[in-house]
Amino acid sequence: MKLTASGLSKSYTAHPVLNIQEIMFGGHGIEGLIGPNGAGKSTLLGCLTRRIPPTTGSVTFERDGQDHDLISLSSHQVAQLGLVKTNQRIQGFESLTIRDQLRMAATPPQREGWRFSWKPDPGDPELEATIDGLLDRFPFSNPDGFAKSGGEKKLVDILRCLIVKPKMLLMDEPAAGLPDEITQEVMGLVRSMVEEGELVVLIIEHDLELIWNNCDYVHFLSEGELLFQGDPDEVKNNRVVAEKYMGV
Amino acid sequence: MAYLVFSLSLLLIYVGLALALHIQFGLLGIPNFGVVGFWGLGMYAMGVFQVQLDLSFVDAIVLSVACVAAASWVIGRLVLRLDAQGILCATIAFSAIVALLIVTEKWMTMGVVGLGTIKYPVRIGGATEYLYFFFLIAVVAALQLFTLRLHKSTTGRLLLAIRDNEEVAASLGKDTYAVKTFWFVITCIAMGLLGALSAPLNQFLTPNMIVPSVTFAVWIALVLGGKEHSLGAVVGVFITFGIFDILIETYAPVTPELAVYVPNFKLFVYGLLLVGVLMFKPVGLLDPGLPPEAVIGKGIEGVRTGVALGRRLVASSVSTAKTTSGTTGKTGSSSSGPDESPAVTATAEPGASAPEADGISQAKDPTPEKPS
Ligand SMILES: Nc1ncnc2c1ncn2[C@@H]1O[C@H](COP(=O)(O)OP(=O)(O)O)[C@@H](O)[C@H]1O
Ligand SMILES: [Mg+2]
Repeated sequence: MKLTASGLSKSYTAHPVLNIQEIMFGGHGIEGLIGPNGAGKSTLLGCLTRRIPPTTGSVTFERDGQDHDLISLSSHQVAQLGLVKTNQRIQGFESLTIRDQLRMAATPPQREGWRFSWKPDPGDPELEATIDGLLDRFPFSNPDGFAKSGGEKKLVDILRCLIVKPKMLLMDEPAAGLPDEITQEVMGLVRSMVEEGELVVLIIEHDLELIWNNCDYVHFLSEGELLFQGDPDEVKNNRVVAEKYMGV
Repeated sequence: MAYLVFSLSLLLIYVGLALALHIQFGLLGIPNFGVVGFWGLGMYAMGVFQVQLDLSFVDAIVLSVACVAAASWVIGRLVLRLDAQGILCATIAFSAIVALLIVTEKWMTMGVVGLGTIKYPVRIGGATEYLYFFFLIAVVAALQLFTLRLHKSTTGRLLLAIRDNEEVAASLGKDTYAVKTFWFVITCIAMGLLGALSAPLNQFLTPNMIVPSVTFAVWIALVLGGKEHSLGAVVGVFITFGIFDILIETYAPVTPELAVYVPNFKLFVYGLLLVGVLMFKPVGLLDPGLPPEAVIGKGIEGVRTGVALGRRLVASSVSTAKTTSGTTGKTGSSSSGPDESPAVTATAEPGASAPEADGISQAKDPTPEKPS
């Protein structure tokens, strides 16, 4: 699993927000992406998953020894290849219950076609068991009702992405808005899935403890440019990172 | 009587249109403001195929639906990537184009002269209209049944997700554009089919049937009834079209001088109802969370209380009529004369309750006004 971007740039009306020569993700189990607010981290993830059209550059996703050019694909095709992103901003499906959101995310498109439009959801026992497991592990006030608090919505967003069984998961500030113990639980689950070899993960976080504790490799982005990358200790002790980010 | 069957048939057509719009807008979030365009295209295509090309009923229906399918596919490709305003403007424009072409392309549509006569599929003397009415009931009931089942399916869930947040649905691997295009075309086909089926009903087609007020009537009914509820379309159409165009226009004891004002009064009350619903209950009368079974239960209960109320009204009016035995009896007999069911004559008061129209065999005002 390798996600490579080269010559990637994004400008909003001639105002450049992203300019990266070459960056690669997926070489380590869990990687981190840090940088000050407005550095372009979310924009980078958006460009990688085709949510945002980049101004220039190429993005290649290598999966099972086969290269896929992501620029020519649309957002849903990128997801079907196994590259999925959680959202920094709270986003969800207001008219679906928590359980239905998970069911919807995990149901393959061919079981949502017109042939199924007049049949009650047949329900997949294996999927229901997975959902029950997740809902036991993460306490929602009412899993058969709607997500209420911002925290619940954020958590549903993450669980939705996990249940589609991605090969590479990009997490944009997963801890923001979540209570500490839930963040711990999420990271525990993600780590165990990574150890099982189910997926690789990239995390954007301002909570640096979380980065140092979980990541094997860290990229540092500032003002749209990739300024440093290395293992956590190298990044911690790097002068540029300290000046531009941790010093302030 | 024939007029009542005509009105009820038209009511069914409106229920069908509102159901299609419910799937389109209520479930999928596509604000189609060109309902009359798709309906009118189906209707006029049916007329052209039957009258100009002399095709059989079935052939004409199939070809009309194919025309609407092709048109809606092109429209879908053009507009479904736009935002709500874009879709709204484009669909209004489409319906305006359809209306304009019907006037200008005289060689095909006969323009303002009108196109007719469109035949019923089968003619059995006086029973023709009734047979056709039952056929329409079957078609619309099938559409309603499908809608109820769609709500419980994986497909329905996907449509809701796309309406709520298309971008996130796509980021989970759903081909939202393809799904939207497919269901937009299917629901436009339903509108076109209802249009084609309206052609024999109207017999004679004129361009003034293709007016935006058809679109608005469907929208108002759906929004009033509850755009997200599987039964919102039926409830909304019964409250608007059912009460005003059938109960009041047909049975209310209005003098001919006042009758001129009924359509305006109707629009006024529609507007008032709409503003009221949007202010106090924006989801419409039926909450999306309300299970359909509960709605049906409530409906039956409502009809029962309505009937009881009607009975009491009759009883009291009969007793007062007996005691006073005066000639002021505005309540009943003045118009319908010796009719078989006294219960109905009493409900002919303006604000009358339940649509208990079963026993009536005489429409009060038999001028068959053109619908549209
Ligand atoms: N849609 C947009 N239009 C204009 N500028 C934008 C837009 N989205 C992001 N930006 C700008 O791009 C820069 C990077 O934003 P973002 O990627 O969200 O940063 P980060 O996630 O690192 O905090 C910011 O300066 C932001 O103001
Ligand atoms: Mg961000």
